[in-house]
Amino acid sequence: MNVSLRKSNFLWKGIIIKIIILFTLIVFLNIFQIQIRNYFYFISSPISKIFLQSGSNTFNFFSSFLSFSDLKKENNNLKEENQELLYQISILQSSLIQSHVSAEALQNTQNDKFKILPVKVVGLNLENDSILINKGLDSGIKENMPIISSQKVIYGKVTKVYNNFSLVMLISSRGSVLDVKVLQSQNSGAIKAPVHGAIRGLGGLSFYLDLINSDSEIKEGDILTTSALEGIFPADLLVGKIKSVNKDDLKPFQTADMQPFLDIKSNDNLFLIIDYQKTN
Amino acid sequence: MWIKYILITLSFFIISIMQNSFLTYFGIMGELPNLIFILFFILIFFEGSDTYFDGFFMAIIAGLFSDMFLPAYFGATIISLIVVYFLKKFLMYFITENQSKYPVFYFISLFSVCFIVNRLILYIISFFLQLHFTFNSSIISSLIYNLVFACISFYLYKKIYKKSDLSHQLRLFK
Repeated sequence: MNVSLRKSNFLWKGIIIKIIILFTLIVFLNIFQIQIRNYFYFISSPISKIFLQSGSNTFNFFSSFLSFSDLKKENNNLKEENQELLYQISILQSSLIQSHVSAEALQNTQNDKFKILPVKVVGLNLENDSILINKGLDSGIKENMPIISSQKVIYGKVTKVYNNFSLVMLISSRGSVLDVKVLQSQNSGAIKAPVHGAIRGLGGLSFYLDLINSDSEIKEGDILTTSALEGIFPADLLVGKIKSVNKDDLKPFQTADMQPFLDIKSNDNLFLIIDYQKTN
Repeated sequence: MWIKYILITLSFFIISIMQNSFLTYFGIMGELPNLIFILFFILIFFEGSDTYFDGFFMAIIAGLFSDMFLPAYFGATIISLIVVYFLKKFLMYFITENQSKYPVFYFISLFSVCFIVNRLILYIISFFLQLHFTFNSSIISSLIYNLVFACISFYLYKKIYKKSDLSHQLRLFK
């Protein structure tokens, strides 16, 4: 009886000691998390780069079996060209709309100029739709800085900054919300005011359009750009294209499935907007 | 003896980098194989049942490298893997009988249970941390995809395990 009681006491003591050790370890890791993570990324980034490159090559190798050899390349080039043209269209559309609003608003939107800093993707985490870039505190990176591609496609914003690296949350991340405006494709040539809504991340590099008033007319093929309402992202950055509209008369808002313009798997050269400030 | 722990740490280090770089190109329906979890499970599956230290050590190392790429505090995956380790111990206690006859069957069923429990714990923890783990029907496709890699790894590990076992025996006979 006494022996079994002692045994049980001994067992409980062991469990409590292990829990205390584990708790201390986790606290210690979190106190020094910035240093630990920065050191880890510093060591792993060269290996990560090699793996990223080989992953891309392997993926391209296998996908070449499924398509003609140059089709993918051509498709990528066309995509880039298309995004460039879409950006120009969005700028033109914005300018057209601006001519119809007040002079004050025109001045405000013209002030949307910013400096960019080239960065390289050194890690991808598709479980949480985040990427790791090779610039950090040392390069003057701050939290909430927007990140875009050379075609002015919005990718996300910086959420955590380490000494030499930064963690970027993509706009497709679950929980991410981005204010956008829908630039309606026009057949008649008439100028329509943009419809405002929000992009909500679904994870897995996808997102959907939400909070579009049920009275507003949106359709497949409409282009979405940032609206700069929340003050983090500059206006007129490309977001995506509407794939299909989901309208329900019983609901106050309509939603839409989106075709994102961000393509993190084939583009590891991105740009940080380092001096954007919203002008009121 | 200590070489074993260095090798385990190095393996998890390489696997974690691979998972967040190379494998990101091979997602199916938005799901990726969780190589860290697969390696962790294979190691605890073949681990001797009398010691807790190895499992504890592997859970901390695997969890640490998993958490390294998460935009949150350290600890979420460490805790979930420790729970998985004790769950596996608990389940193995009841199914020791015919285990050696159908190891793959036990492996697949244990892996599936532990995989789902791991995702559930991470989902619960994500309410407290700024994480966005989901727990919905997509877990089925994720489990199937991970099982493919887990079964391949299971046979590979078994082959290596058998070989090393055989070489030990030969050495003993010499």
